[in-house]
Amino acid sequence: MRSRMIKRIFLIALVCIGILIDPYKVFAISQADDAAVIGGGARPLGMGRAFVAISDDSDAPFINPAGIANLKRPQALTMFTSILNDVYYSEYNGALPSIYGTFAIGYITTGVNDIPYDDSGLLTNYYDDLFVLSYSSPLSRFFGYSKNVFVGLNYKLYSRGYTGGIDFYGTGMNFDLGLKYVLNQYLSFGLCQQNVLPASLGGVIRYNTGASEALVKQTKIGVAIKPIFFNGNILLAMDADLPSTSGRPMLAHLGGEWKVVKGLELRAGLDQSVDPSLESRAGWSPSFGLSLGALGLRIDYAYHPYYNNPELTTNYVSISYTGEPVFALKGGPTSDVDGSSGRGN
Amino acid sequence: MELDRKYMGINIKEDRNLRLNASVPYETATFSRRFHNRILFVIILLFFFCSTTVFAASSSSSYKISASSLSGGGGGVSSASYKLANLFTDLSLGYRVSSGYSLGEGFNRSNYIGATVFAPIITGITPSSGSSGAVIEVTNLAGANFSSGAIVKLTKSGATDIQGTNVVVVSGTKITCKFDLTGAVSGYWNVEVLNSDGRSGSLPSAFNVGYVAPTVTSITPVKGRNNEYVTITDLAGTNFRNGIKVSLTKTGELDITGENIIVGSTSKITCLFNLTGKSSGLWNVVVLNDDNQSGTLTSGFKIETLNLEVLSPVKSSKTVFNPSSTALNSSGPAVLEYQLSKDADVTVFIFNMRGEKVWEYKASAGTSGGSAGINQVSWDGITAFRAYASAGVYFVHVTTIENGAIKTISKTKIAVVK
Repeated sequence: MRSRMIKRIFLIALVCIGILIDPYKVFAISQADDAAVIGGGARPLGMGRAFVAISDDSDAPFINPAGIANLKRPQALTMFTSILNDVYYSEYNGALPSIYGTFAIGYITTGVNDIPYDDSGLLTNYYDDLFVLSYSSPLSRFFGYSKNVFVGLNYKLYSRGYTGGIDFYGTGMNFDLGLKYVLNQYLSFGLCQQNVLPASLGGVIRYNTGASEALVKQTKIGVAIKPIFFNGNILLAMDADLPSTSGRPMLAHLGGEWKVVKGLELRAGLDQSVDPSLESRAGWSPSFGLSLGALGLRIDYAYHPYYNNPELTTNYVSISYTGEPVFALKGGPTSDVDGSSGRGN
Repeated sequence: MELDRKYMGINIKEDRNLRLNASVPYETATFSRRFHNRILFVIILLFFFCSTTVFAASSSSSYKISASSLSGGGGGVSSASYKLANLFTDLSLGYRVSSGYSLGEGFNRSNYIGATVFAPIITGITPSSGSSGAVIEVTNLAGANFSSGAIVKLTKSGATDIQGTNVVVVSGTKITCKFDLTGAVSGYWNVEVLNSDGRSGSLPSAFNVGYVAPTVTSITPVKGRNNEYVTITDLAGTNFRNGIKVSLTKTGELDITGENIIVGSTSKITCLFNLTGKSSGLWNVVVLNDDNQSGTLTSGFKIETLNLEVLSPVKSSKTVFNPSSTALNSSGPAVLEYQLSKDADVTVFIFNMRGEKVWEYKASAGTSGGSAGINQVSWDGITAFRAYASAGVYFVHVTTIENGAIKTISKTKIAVVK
């Protein structure tokens, strides 16, 4: 028993070390950002993006792909928002649990219209699309133990460029690795590294101009707690985004969710974003959210101001549907910390 | 026995029955008759004498008391003629009536019965002034001896009389009427009452005709900033006169006096207001004619505190920007240019497509980037996190603080390529 525990801890530590080592912390290398940095659907955004250790919805591939292994039912989710009142952002994803693990697919399309590109006032548009294929499974599927440890993998394809006027476009690919450890029904941990594939191995976006950009590596760790005092109706989470480049600060995320009654959940969070205005280079913003669900259908809303600027307040709305189980999930946990796995409301 | 006595020319005889018998001798009777005739003659002479002095008729056969003889202007109640009139009353030769004096019974036989012998007297008029062009309703033309059918008018030397309308003789001491002052020249007018018997009374310079009060209907422009002179190109209204004064007023504030006032017409004024340092808000527009009549356009003009405005929106010298070391060396940074209306604390932010603030430039009021006029801020394409901006679209927000909150006053987009 003790030897199993040691092996388990060793394995987790190894994975963590491997993920946290970042060979790309260099100055002034252009790195392309990732549309997934927005943070999944309206539920995690309402919780201040503290969701790595929860990630139990079909939008998990955009946060921690290991989370979809918790799903027992197929689920689809879509989200819409407008960032800075200038950037359209739409997200679509779906997950299907099976005896071989949980498969998911995700698509984010975002862009900007009416960009001036010469002095005559001609305008063009910019698109930035992300396509994700995701797989997640309990680690026990491969090792015969650690059935409460889940791993996930994203394969991501990027496509971005201008629709006219400016001859510039590019495509690229990369991978995300995720880990989720459900210690018991009250405590779980999450770990995800986005864009793990180094540029030398093709983890870049290549443009038609011959230039290429490495994709920003993003490491997220988190913990989720379900206090025993509230009959399992309160869920608290905390995440940290570890800097992938030396110039960026670590960002923290705090969030909570209160299941008021079945079908109604309220959320609040504190979300940290990079902010060069501050000495710490990071500033907090509040976020709020609620969820209404019935008959498998759920609508989530998140209200998220940024930088204490009312003009930058962003509203997120996502709609999800959870269907009936299609396949029995082999090796799934009997329970998990968030208790909402495969929720069908 | 008979006793004969003579007393004052009368023979008195006592008969045997001791009765006294008086007889007037012919001479005595004649004398007495003569004596009485003489008295009557004197009275008649006296009457005719008075007729020529007191009853000086306007006509050759006049038997009326002249107006001047009994009016205040003719000596009034203390005058001899007034006393004489009273004398006639006392002697029952005449009697006092409300509208004057009529001759008594003794004159009836001489066809003097019922005649009005005193002219109207005017002691005051209410109101005592009116504006030219207006119709004034006189509520009390006070005096005496007014008779039904009296005519009222305003007269002025060199001007056409203004006949009163709707004249109502309420009593012998009060008349109401209306005066249409359209076209009436300004100044003091005499008030006259002409009774139906031809007698008239006048109260000189009793009614003042002034100009019509001015009105203000609009002002152009309707607002100005409190750091500038504002030229009023059209202050519209009516009855503007040369010498008019224009001002802006507001409770608790000193008036702002108009300068360079030009009365283009009776309905248009141009002028200049110095709004520098004046409090913001709505002000009344007041015009004051030289006759001290004024017109007001309430809350007609707005003074605004100078707000920070972007006179020309922010624009990047590079709409398509390639922020790499080689590109920067060849073409330099992107210059963000904008024009401000006044000095202000300004911060320029640059956001990426994820909504992350990746660069900022703070400028205090009056310094480069925060000065009135054209400002230029350079961005070399390197984020605040020491990385070249990746390909994509970046959003430039020029902001200031207003009421404690960040306000974006101008923004633009920059296309970043590689």
